Amino acid sequence: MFGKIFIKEWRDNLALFALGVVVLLGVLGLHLGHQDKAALFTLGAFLMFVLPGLAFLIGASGFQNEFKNNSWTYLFSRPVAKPCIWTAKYVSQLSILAVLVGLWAALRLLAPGLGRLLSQLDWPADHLSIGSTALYLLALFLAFTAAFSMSFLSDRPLLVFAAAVLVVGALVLALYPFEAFLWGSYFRDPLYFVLLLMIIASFALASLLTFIRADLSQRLKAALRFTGLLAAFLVLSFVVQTMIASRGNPFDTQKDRLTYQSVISGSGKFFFGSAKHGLMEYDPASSETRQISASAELWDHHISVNGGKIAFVESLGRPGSYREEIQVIRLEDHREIGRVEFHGTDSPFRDVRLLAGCLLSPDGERLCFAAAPRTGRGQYGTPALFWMKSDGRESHRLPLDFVGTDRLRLLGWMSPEEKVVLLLADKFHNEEQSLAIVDVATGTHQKVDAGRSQFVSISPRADYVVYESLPDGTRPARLMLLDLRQLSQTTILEDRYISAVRTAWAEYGNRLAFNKGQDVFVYSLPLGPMVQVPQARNPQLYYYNFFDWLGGGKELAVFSYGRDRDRKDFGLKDKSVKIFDSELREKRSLPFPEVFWPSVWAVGDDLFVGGWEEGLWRLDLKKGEWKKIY
Amino acid sequence: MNDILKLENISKGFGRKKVLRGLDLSLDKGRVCGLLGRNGEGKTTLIRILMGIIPADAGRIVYQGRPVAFADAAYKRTIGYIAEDNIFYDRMTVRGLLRFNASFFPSWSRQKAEDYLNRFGLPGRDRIRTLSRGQKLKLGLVAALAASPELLLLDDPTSGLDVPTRHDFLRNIIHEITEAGTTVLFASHMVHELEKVIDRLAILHGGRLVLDVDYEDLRSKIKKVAWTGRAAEWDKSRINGIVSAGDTADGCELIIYPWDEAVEKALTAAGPGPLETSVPSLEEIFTSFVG
Repeated sequence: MFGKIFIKEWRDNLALFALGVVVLLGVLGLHLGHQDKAALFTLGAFLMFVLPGLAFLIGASGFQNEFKNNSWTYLFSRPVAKPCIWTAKYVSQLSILAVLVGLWAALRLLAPGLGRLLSQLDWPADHLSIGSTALYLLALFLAFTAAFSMSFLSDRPLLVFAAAVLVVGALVLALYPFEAFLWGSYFRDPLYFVLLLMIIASFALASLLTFIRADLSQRLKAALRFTGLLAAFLVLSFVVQTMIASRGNPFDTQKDRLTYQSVISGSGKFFFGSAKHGLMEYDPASSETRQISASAELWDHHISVNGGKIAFVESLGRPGSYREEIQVIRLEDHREIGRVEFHGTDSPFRDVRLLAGCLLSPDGERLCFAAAPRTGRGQYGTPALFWMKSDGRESHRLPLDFVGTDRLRLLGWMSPEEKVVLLLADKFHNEEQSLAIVDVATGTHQKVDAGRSQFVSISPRADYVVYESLPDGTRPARLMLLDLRQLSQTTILEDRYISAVRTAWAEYGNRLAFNKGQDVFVYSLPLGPMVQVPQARNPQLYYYNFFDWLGGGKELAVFSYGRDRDRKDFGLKDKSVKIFDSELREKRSLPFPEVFWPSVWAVGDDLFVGGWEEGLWRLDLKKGEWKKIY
Repeated sequence: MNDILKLENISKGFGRKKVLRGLDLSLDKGRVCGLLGRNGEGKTTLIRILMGIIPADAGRIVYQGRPVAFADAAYKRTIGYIAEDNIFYDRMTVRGLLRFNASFFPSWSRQKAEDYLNRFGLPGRDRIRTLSRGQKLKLGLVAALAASPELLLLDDPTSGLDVPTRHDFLRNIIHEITEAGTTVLFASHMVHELEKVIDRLAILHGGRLVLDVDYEDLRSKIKKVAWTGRAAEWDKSRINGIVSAGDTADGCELIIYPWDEAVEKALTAAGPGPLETSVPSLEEIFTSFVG
């Protein structure tokens, strides 16, 4: 019976098939006639509009024969199950489309130059992590199914066509905010292939269930039923996609991940930030990880470890009514040494808003932060630098009336000079920035202009700052080294393009590693030389490097991987982890951990790698194996 | 009783309009049941529900002892159906449609199909769109009968048929298939045609069956009686069995069912009569029950 209906449908739709063939031949003729931009335009228009339009049209004509002949009574009175009728028609109409697409594929192979011309077209599929051919076929499949699913609801095929185009168009538009939602909540893209298949299945199922139960003498009722079912299935599709992205509970948007650049060491332990649990401590002696902070809401870049103490900023309470606090605890036993509250009625800092903090002095005895006084509702006055003993007593305040901004970052505490280094207008792109060195003892300051700079980084002993100065039309990009004591600036290198996104300071030996594009360089402070780290390269790939110094500067660990320059494949290739000695000779090669886009920290002789959501891994140097510690 | 088909509490509405209201009907095997009703009373709706073309809002269908759901299709393999509007696929030829149709019915007989084609004088090679309405009806008959159905549902099948074919159908074909054991549900408003063939009469009115009886039994128990007095008086008389009353020149005419001695005594006591007694025609019976 299925076969009979299938064959009958082909016979009934031969005219439609012939129309498709004529269109294909027409495009082929245009192509053979012109090999220039006009042909490219025609080809693009054909692929973008004509072929999808045919898919919609073939789908919309699914049940037109029954409407035209008014032969519903005959069809439904036959001893054929309605699902069989629906499926036979669906498959036969789809096969018509498939044959047309197959003919197109054959033309592509046979017609001279057509394949090359096609490769010149720009596809949106790169962004969607799905092959362009697969995406296109899915799109045609969706267009056809959407139109077919509604085709028994109306005797006007153009109405069905228009409705299908509108609904599919609305779904495509909805993908953009959905993608933004998934990325914002779970830092993941949708699995487009799966999502599109689910949307197609939603149309098909809604249609089939409506068709089985529908009283087609009451088409409005049937249409409403179809709409309700479709909406339900589509919602389910998006929920399932969200669950896939969230890896389980879609309502749990608090996915655990490492917060940026938060692995630091002190007293033989390691500290890192977890989005879900806040400040975490890892003890290599016991291999245990424990939570230190009460809240998960840590301020990134606001953790300081010095003198056997750790200071960090956390937000307590609930979204919308957070209260910030700075905590200082002793590393040895986590005993709280001091707490600075910004919202308590008894707090001396209740009328200030924390801007940047906190920073412990190298001996851990003092704490400083920057804050601005409230002058009115939503209004704040001139920022000030606050410093005190690490237990919160004996606080002092120094107005920063020279800063001209409330965007500050505490970079480091110079010792023994008792100077705090501030970065003013801390933005990572294209803004005028300057550094301020504030003497907390005398209350004096010095400002150093850093121009339009980015990627600012301070050395562990706060004696140097490196930053990239952006080109300004008269000068190229420059990587600058600022000596904080001499207040002298040295140009490490100058080039049209640098992009020194990552820097790594050797704790001892005065060396700085940085990347320039896809290469890694080591610069000996303060005046050079600069040496490139030798790395093998595949010219088809663009390389990304992540690196840090082991043993305080004795060795350099470099993680490297490449990706296709033409971005057709987003996989990581040519992955390597190499250890270079102080002479930058390759000493050792290690396996690459299961981390995408790793962040690398070397703490003493320990090497850590963290992924966005892949946790934190520690390298067992003896065995050369990675162990996940969190 | 050997019921081939049983309808229990079938209801159906279209929007606010209720067409069928809790209808019960049973069909005996091998018998012809005539379903009478005025236009719009739900005859076609009932048959379409039986054929699974539209769903009932409530109720149950039991065919050959097994309940049938709206989604079921297999039970239709032994049912022949001639619709009120015989519409097929225009582009097919007559034989093409019969070949297409044959694939649905295991009991299809190609020979029978050819015999009926010849009997009805249908051109096998002609495209359906070239056939007249009557020819399409005949084609519908062939498509239904060639499968030797156990149940034949006829929805006003004869309007549009030429006289010879109509006579052949009513006098011969119905007889042939019932002799072979086929049960027939014959829905029509052509009363005089039904009279000739039915074994059972069901009258549909107001969404319900107002009459559902063996036809011979009905004819033996229903009387048309001329009586004195006016129809309005008899309507108020509260005598059981008066189905309808109509005024005549000499008095009134009563349709009484069932007629028995008690009713006769009650009538006599109410007024002088009867003036005349006869068996009403099916048309009169129909009119009296539906008003």
